This record gives sequence, C-alpha cells and structure tokens, in this order.
Amino acid sequence: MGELTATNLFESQTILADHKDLIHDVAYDFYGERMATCSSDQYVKVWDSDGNGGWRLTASWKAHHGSVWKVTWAHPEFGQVIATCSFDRTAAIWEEVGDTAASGSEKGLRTWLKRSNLVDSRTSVTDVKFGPKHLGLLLVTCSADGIIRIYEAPDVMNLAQWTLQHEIPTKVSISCLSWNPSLSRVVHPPMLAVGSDEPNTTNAAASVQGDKTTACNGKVFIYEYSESSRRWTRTDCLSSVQEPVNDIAFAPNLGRSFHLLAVATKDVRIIKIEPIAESAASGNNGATVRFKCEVVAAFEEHYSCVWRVCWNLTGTLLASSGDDCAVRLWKMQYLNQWKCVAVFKNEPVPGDSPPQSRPHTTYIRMATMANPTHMPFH
Amino acid sequence: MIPSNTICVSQEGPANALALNKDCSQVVIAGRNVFKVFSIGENDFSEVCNLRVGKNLNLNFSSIDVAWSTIEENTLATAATNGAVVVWNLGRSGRSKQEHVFSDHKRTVNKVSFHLTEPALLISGSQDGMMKCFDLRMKEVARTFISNTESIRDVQFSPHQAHTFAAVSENGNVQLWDVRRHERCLMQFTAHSGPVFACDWHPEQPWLATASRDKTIKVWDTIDRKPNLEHTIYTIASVGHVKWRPQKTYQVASCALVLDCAVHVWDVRRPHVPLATFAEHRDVTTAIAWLADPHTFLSTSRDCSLYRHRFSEAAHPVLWANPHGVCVSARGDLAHAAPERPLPALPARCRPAPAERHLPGLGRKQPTAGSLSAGAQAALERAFPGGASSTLLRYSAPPHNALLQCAAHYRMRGAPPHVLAEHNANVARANNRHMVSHVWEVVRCVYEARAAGRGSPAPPRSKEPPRPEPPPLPPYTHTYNSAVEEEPLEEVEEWAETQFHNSGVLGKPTLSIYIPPSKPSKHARSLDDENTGWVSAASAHYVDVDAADWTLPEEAFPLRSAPPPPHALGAHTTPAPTAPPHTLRHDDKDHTVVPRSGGGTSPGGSSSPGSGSSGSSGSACTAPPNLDHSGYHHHSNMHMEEGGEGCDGGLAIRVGDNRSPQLDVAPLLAAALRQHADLGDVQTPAVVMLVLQDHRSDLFPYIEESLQEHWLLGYIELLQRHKLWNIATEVVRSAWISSVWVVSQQSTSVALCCGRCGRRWRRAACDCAGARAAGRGGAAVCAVCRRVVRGLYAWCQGCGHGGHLQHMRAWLQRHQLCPAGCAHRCQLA
Repeated sequence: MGELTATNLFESQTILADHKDLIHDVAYDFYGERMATCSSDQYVKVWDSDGNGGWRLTASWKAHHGSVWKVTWAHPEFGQVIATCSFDRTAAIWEEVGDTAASGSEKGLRTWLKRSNLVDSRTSVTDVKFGPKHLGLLLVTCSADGIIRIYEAPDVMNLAQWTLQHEIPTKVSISCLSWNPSLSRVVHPPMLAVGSDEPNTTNAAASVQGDKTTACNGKVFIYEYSESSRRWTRTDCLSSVQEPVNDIAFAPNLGRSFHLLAVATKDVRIIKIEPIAESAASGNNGATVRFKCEVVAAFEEHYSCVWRVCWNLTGTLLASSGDDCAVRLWKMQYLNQWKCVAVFKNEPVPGDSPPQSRPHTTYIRMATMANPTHMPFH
Repeated sequence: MIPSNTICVSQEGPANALALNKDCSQVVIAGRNVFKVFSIGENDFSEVCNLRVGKNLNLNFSSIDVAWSTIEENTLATAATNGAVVVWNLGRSGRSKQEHVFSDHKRTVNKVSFHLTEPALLISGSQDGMMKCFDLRMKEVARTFISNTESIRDVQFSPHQAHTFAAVSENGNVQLWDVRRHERCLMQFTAHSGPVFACDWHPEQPWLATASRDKTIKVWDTIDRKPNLEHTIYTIASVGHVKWRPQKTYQVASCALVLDCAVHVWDVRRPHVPLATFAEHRDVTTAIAWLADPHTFLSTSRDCSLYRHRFSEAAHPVLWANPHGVCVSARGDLAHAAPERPLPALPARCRPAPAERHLPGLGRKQPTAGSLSAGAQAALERAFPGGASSTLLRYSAPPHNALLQCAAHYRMRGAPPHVLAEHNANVARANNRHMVSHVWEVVRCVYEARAAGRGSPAPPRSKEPPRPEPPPLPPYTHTYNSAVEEEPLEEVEEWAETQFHNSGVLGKPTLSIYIPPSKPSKHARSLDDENTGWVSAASAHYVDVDAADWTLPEEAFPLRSAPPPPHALGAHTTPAPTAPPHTLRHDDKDHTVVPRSGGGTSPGGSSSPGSGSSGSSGSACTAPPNLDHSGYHHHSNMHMEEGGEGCDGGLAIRVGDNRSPQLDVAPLLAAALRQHADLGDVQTPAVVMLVLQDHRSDLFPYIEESLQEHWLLGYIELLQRHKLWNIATEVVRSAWISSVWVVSQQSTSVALCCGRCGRRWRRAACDCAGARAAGRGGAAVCAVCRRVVRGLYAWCQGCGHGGHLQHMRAWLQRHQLCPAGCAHRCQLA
C-alpha cells in the first residue's frame, strides 16, 4: 500500500474535542468515516467526517456514571451501533436513531439511544469489543475482577436483548482484550486474546520461585471456542509477556496463515501466533500445544509504558502510543524486520502552565528512513 | 492482606457511625449492635470501653449516629433509631455511662452534632423533619427548628459562623439556620435532584459539600446570601458521606451508600476521577473521619470492620486509567488522543516498580495501590487537577493509495488469464507495486505460454471449468432469455434440478427456484442417450419458463456440493451416485473417446445455463475435441489434490511437453501467493486466483480451499471497508467457492425504485402515488427514452407501458419484454 513512501507526509489536525477530562479511547467505524471518543468526563462523542478532511461533532451524550474506558463500533451491517464500558461497572450498547439517510443540514440531529445496559460485572468493566461479523452479533466484556463475559444478541434487530452466553473467570485482573478478526471460519475457531494488568506482586526472588510452580506467569492469554464442547477454553498463555499489559490487538487477518498480536506493555511487542496443525500437534505431545508463538519484535523506543497499540486495515502497520506522548508507526521491512517508520510527537504543554493555553503547537517529526526504496510495497 | 500501615479491627456488628475525640486518640463506633470506644495505637486499635452494657439493652443503644464533644473529653451523644438522643458520659463511674435520654423526636434521629465552641449545645436532625437544639446543662430542648421537609439527614455547625448550622433533607434541600432563631432559616436552596444524605463544612473555605443520591457531590459557596455552586463531583453511586480532607483545600473524601465499597478522595477541580481510592472494605462504607492530619483517616463499614487508612496506601485510579487513545482507520487516518499535560507521576510510575516489589501481595485488584513513593504521590497530587485535558489529533494519510488504485483498475475476468495478467501487471507497475507487478508478469508468462502451446487461441472457457463460474451479466435480461431459448447449449446442464433456496433480505427463505435446464447439446445427446432421457425428465420440473425471473439463474448457481442427480450418474457410470467429481472423471478417462460428454457430465465441468450464453462460450462450444487434452491435465491435478489415484502416473505421461512448465510453476506460484498473503497483501492472491479462472485448479493442490476462501473473504472485506461495492460484488460473483458466492444471496436486498418518480417501492407492486398522479396528469412518459410523449403514444394492452411509437416498435423488434422493466411480454396492438 505504500502509504509511507518517503515523499508523503502525514498532515496533522487538532480536533477540539472539548472533553472535560482525559480521553481514554478513540475508535473509528468500519469505514473510517466516523469516530467516537470517550472520556473520564462520562461523555461519549461521535464525530463524522465531512469528506474534506474535517470532522464534525454530531452527537455528545453522558453515557455512564463513571469514566468511560472504551468505545467500539459494531459492524455496520448491524446498524450504527457502539458499545461503551465504564468504571461504573456497566457496559452499554447504543444505537443511533434519527434520519441517518438525511443529508446536508438535517444531518446534525442524531441521537443515540441506550439499547441495553449490561450490569453483570461487580467491578469496573475495562474493555468491550464486538465479535467478528461472521459470528453474529457478539459482544465481549472484561472486568477488573478478571471475568470475561460473552454476550450475544440472538435477534440482531433487537439490540435490547443480550444474553450472557459465557462467563470465563480468569482469576487475574483483565485490562484489555481483542478478538481474532480472522474471517476464516474453518481454520480459525473463534479466538480471543486478553491481557492482564495485574501487577507483578512477586517481590523477591523467593516469591518468583513460588510463582513458578503455578502454571504460567504470562499476562496474555488466548482463549478459543470449541464448537464441540461449546465452551471457551484457555488454549495458551504467552509466557513471553511478563509485565502488566495495557492494550492488546490482533492484526486484521486477511488470509495470513498465522496471527499477529500486538501487545502494549513496558514495550511494544509483536507476537506471531502460528496455529499448529491438529495432526502435528497431537503427534507431538498430545495436542496440548495449539500454537507456536514467537516474539517477532519488541521495541523499547517509547522509553516508558506503552498504552495503546492499533493496526491498520491490512495488518501491515502498527501504531503505538506511550507515556512519551508520541505515536510511533511500525512497519515490516525486508527480511521480516519490523522498523519504526514514523514518529508523531505531540509536544506537551509544560506542567505548570495555566490551562487556558490550550491551543498549542504540535510538531511532527518523521523518523529518519534509512532508505526509502527499502519500503516493501504491500 | 492489608497494607502494613493500615490497621483494622472487626466487631460483632456493623457500625453506622464513628466519632473521634478532640485529640484524635480515641474513636467511638456505634451501630445497632455495637457501641465501643477504641484507642488508636500506632499499629492497632485497642478497646477502651464497651458502652453496650447493662441489663436492658433497649433501642436507646441502637444508634444511627454518634458524636463526640469537641470540648468535653467525656461527653458523647448518639442518635437512636427509636428517636431518642442519648448523652453519654465516659467519666461516670460504674458500668453504665448513660447520662441522659432526650426522647423528643417522634421518629428516628439521623444525626447528632455538637456545637464547636459551646460545650452544652447539641443539635439533632430527625426523620420527622425537625431539628432540635438541646441544652445539656438544662437537660432540655432549647429550640426546635421545623424544616417543612419530610426528613433531615444531616446537620452540622459551621466552623466559620458560630451560630450557623446547615441541615440537609431528603427532598434535596439545604437549609442554613441560625441556632438562636428557630422561626425561619437563614437560607434555603435546592441542591440536588435527589435526597441529600450528608453535608460537610470546609474547615477553611466558606464551602459546604453536599452528597446526594443523584451520585454527585456538590460544593456550595455560602458566603453571600445566595448560594453559589462551585464544583460538582460525579461519582458512580449514591453518595452517603462526605468529609473534607484537612489541610488540603480542594480535596474531599466520600463513600457510597450502595454499590461501591471504596472510599474515594476527590480533587474538586477534577470532578470525574478520584485522586485516590481505598478499597479495603468488603461492604459499603458507613462513615469516614479524618484524623487531624491529612494522611490518615478512619472508616467503618457494613462489613463490621473499622479501618485506619494511610494516604500512602492509596490506589490512584488515574494511574491505571488509559490516558492514550490510538486508532487507525480504514482510510489510513490515525487518531491520537493524548493527555495535554501528562502526569509528572508518570516518570515515577517506572520508579515504583521496584518499590512495588517491597510490598506483600495486595490481594486486591488495584494495580498500583500503595505503590507510589511519597514524593511521587505529592507530585501526582499537584499535577492531578490540571491533567484533565486531552488533545485529540488526527494524522491524515496521504490520499493516494496504491491498493485502491489497483483494486479499481484490475481486471478480473472477461479475457484469458494472460491478457488479464498483463493488464494487471501494468496497473500494479503504474502504482509502484513492483513486486506485485512481478507476480502478474509471471502469471502472464506462464499462461501465455500455455495458451500458445495449446495451438489455439483457447480462451479459458475451452477448458472444462473445474468449478462452475458465473457468467458475466447479459446486457438485457431479455436478450439473455432469448439467448438461452434460441441457442441450444452445447453443454448438458446437469444441475438443472438444483433447487435453490434463495435467502431474502431478512434471511428468510423466500423462493425456491427451479433452474430450468437448458436444452441438451446435440453432442451429448448423440453420445449419451441416457443423459437426454434424464434431461427430459428434469424438464418436467421446468416450471413456467416465461414467468421465471431470468436474471436469477446466474446467481442461483448450482451448488458445487450438490450431488448429481442419481439417475444421471447411474446411467453414466458405475460408481455410487455420490461419487466425487474425480470418480466421474476417472470413468471418463477409461473411455478416452468421449470428449464432450465427459465435460458435460462431470460435475466439475458442468456450468450454469448462463455460461453457455456468455460471450466466450461460442468458440468454446465449437472447439475441437482435442481440447479435452487440456482438460485432462486439469484433472490430473485434481487427482493430485485429492490424494492421487492409481491412474495418475498414466496421465502424467499423456500430458504433452508443452504443459510440463505448469507443473513446475504451480507450487511456486502458490508459494508466492501465500507469501503475499503473509505480508498482508491479500489483494494479490485473491485477484490472481480470480484471474486464473479455470487454471486456478492448478494451484488447488497447494492451497487448501479454506485458505482460498479466507483470501476471497479478506479481499471482499477490504473492498467493502473502502466502499468499493461494485468491485466487491464482482469478486463475490466471480468467486469459485460456494461459501463465498452465496454471500450474494444471503442478506442481499435489492431496492426497486419507481422509474418515474425515483422513489423506492415499498412492496413488490408498484403503487407509486407520484407516478400515478403523473399518469393522471396526462404527461405520458416514453418507457424507452423517458421523455414525455407528444403525439402518438403506443402502449401494450397487457401491462399498460408504452411510449413513442417508433421507440416501442424498435424496442420490440429487438426485445420481447416490456421496456419499462415490468417483465411483461409486450405486444403492440
């Protein structure tokens, strides 16, 4: 796709979000034409692209009684639907009503109705994601007490009804999750990756040893749905990730034979998960190992905690954001080497400056690209 | 389990309230079943005195609230559930410390509060809506204040004006009273939309914090006559209690009445996120009280425990809240939400990591509880209120996207593979995708050589298509229809009987369509009489050809998995009726003299009725039987795919030299496509497979069908995300995998619009009012040219559509169906 050739530069634009507190999540819809933001100020805002590069606020409403952690769009086949999750221990499903077909000036009047409120969690709901479209209208939530809940809307026309299909206790605090978006039903059963932000309470070497007796000290778990047993089971635990995980994202899998999982922890990690053929696995050691996991890249360029990772559409470009307030773009180069291809630095206002100095300058620095011709054109 | 600096004691019952003595060395807790005084030690609580003693433990011992005089060392007051206000004297000798009982309130007393400077003044607020000021020396009610509300939940003397006290009530009102004047209150205002459960005067500012069931804490400035709302804090649950943190102007602690067990400390300047959270309690917290310093407070809970919390043990939710948001859109845009002023504690975030290690396991789901050093915590406190703003930045990608350009300009069918490949190679090159272009070049070379080697132009159709392939759309449905009728197809339609369940818009099965069998080819008929017999038998199902919607057969394409009609197979071969394609082929191989029927009867080789009418089929049909040779080659590959058969070797020998390169190329090409897919470029494999058309079966041994499906679905999704619907539909239609092309039947809705007014038809019938009105208005529109007819208007008697006489004539010379598209077979009178 060559988005990142040496000649083109990303152009930046500040959107006055006017959230009263930190924005915790930004989500584009399926087409990239709408954007939802959610914030600790308990508001969710929806922005529409005007087609000329501008973004217009079309809806803003108080969605929860606590910080809204995540917002996510459903596939447009199910309508204009978003789900939010919050510190107030609920997840909510919102649907846009009003004349979505109207154009021009009438377009401004949109309202989002709360179709359902999922109140099963006893603690803060830390993440919410819609399942891949071919599985129907599925929603998964995870909470700080470590319970993954999978809901299904049996009738996609009735968003008020969600049945709790599965409840998977994990015993550790779960901070983030990601569906495997693979479109292949046959080869890849429904798969979820969850990341834990449980602090490593292992204080000294002694207790590390104590923990080693337990199954796995990793922070990323893979769950798979088994059609035969109709259950979600933990099929893997990535032992390579030992630090608390802040975000996790499967790359869109458009026909790869393996999955790519990005993990935001103390660094940015890209993990290649290669399903092992059933026959080979069972031949080796009784089909206990389902995947071959390999850390293909680990970047510490953020020099601090990494908060978010996000893939582009084809899974060729990874964006990460860390406490250094920079966004870094990673791309696979020749010889399957992942390299940083761009850095967007958002210069923070010095700490003690008065809050009214909001309009500030932003600088964008493109990272040095060693040789532009080395960009693979995919 | 408990952080080292936190101490805890359990009691026999839950405590409703607690109160500290004036030097904060002792604490009294009171509840329905508990009434005790503890002394606060360095590391523990020690029980000083249990006041719940005596012979008759009546309701006077069951307390809602307790207060400790700020002046008198030994004086306590409790608010009892039975409406009594009880004064206790710890200095009394003997077991019973009860000093006096005021039984003046009619209902439960919710709150008692001592005057801050007058030791003898005690005020109470009750469920009966009254406040009473007691004089402890006179042991009588000094004044009664009638609030005119249903119940008073909290009363508290102001530290700023000696005689003023605030009272909050369940109807959401706040009243300020002068304790000397009981006639009317100084000020009254509605503070909340729900019951107000608590209030607290700021120790330094003239602020009153009120806590309500509407999940907010509000801070009122009461210096003027008019209350001024200074701050509002939004919490997740009804707020039961609120206490200002001493020496910290902007910080206030709160606990919830329901749902939330934790104690939160807020900075009023950042009203949505608590600065600190203490989540030790297992049930809702009933009371909180700061010790004189800002670093320690006590709390009681319904879980029967009394805790002393150290502020250094706090968890800071803001630290585990995700301050960043990043999203990459389908358009390649990148949105980034970042804190405008990142917390300075964030560098400290890395530092506490070792500090964290020194702590024992917290046993709580609080990632960072107690993990901050004192300095980091102070820094966090300073930065916290200002850290509430995020910048939302958008980085827009450059508009040019080679992938889309390629998608738009690639050709996927309509020509032999090498022609398409050449075109696509040029497209890829024009978009600077040289590797992709290279793949195309390879495809071009291979298939060009093969096409040339075959000694005939050999359009791909000439091969037996291993998978049915939908034909291109005919320009007019009408011509299509006539083509099918008038030109006998060369290929026997085996799948005529395939009954197709078309899923309609909402996934309901709407139609069962019999695909009308086309007329059998003369070839086939001459070669295989049984076939003819079968076709005629199938023709019995041939329902109403004319009325049938002739656009359907091509989407109602034979399912590949559908078994061939048993009698046809039985007539033809010995194997079981459910034999897979290659069995038939095998049979075919044995009689190498049957070229056409082989193609016709193999399910793999069968094609839709439409395929016969497709543009390229003419030459294919008349192609000489030597083409069967190439067909063979195919099937040898199919054999390989299916595990190989005994006769495979024999086939390989028969294969001509000119076809040997393809055996070498197929695995390489397959590997190349896989590589492209693994690199995240699904377009190339998907389109190459499409372009290969019938040759793609060369690759089948190397690429399992699930992967092929995955590629197609991936490419379709990619196109859909870019709203390239037409291309996506074309891919769906050209797909060779049944699960992909049924997509066009599932959840596809066809919107019909009125030809005149352009409005959507609600039902199948045209009931367009606008059109009818227009018709009545006399503006007759020509169905052919869409212009208003002036002069001669000719119309069909059957359907009523018509137009200019010349237009209609010309139309009906070429077509049979109505030009208006009503599917009527028009005849001009």
